[in-house]
Amino acid sequence: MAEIKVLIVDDEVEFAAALAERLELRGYLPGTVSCGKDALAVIEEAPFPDVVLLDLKMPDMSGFDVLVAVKEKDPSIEVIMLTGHGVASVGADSKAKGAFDFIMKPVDFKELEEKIKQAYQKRCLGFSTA
Amino acid sequence: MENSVRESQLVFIGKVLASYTHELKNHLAIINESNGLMGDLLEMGETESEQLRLRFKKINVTIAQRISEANDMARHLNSFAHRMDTALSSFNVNDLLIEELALIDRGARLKNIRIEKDFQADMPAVFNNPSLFQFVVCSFVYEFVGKLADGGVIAILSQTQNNQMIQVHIEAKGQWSNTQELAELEQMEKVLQFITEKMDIGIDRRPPTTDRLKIILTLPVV
Repeated sequence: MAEIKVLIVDDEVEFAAALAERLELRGYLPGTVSCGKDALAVIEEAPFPDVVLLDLKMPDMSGFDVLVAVKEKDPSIEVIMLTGHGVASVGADSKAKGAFDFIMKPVDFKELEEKIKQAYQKRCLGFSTA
Repeated sequence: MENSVRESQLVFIGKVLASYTHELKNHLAIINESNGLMGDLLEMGETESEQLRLRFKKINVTIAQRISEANDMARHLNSFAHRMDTALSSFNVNDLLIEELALIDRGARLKNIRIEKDFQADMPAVFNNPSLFQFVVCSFVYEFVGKLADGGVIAILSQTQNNQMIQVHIEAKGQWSNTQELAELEQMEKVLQFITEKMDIGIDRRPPTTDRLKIILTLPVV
């Protein structure tokens, strides 16, 4: 599989850094930002990330607002929401707004990696059928 | 009115629990990833290098800090729960303020609202209902956090008056998110007024201006 570019958007810097390093050890190309505005700035620059891991609660913008803005910019970028929120409706709301999926914190790393791969495949499929 | 009070209290307790557990999950997420990273480094990296030893040391500090913060949160939550053990007890107002502001801190930070604290030292004890007192204070602070626009400030002050009374000032400074907000606050105050009358707590509202609203709670010293 090609190197997957993953952008981690989370105001918990230590969480994002540890996750990025774990992904890097497995051959991914991760980047981290700590707020929604920075995430949107990164999305403006090429090369775009393939998959965005997006925290739901952040200081400047809600994860949902960032999600909508990312999908407006490039619908083929797949977004996986990360949240400590315990309500199942968050998952449905995320998907309704265009997220590929959502994962609860603390993260099950194997599950996350599987979802990243699936999201990337979906993005590639979009390119091949476009 | 009794039912409204009960419902409001349950909503308040629900908010506190949701906020605390959410924050605890954040700490656990960091501990979980740090632990996973150490495992990965052992499995995939060099196991003997000095660089790895230093990395482990740094990760270890992160884990210890997060456990300490999570423990503080659990302690506050435990104290909060025990405030409901007895209806009336003797307590220090500052202890309760510190406890509940720890609950609200992240929510305020996420909205870019600053909470300023100015608590007088050596406060005499009061004999009252600690759980309801926290409910009243938190109701105002939560509402202010929710209704103030980005960059607002909530100033909380405690002080004695001639060692006979204790005052808690809760002041919102900044712009309201919209003009409807003040009307909603008035509605909430009616419910709280009912509680404070039963608790022998005075509640005074300084006339709101476009960018300021102050609530003063007054409790008799034991």
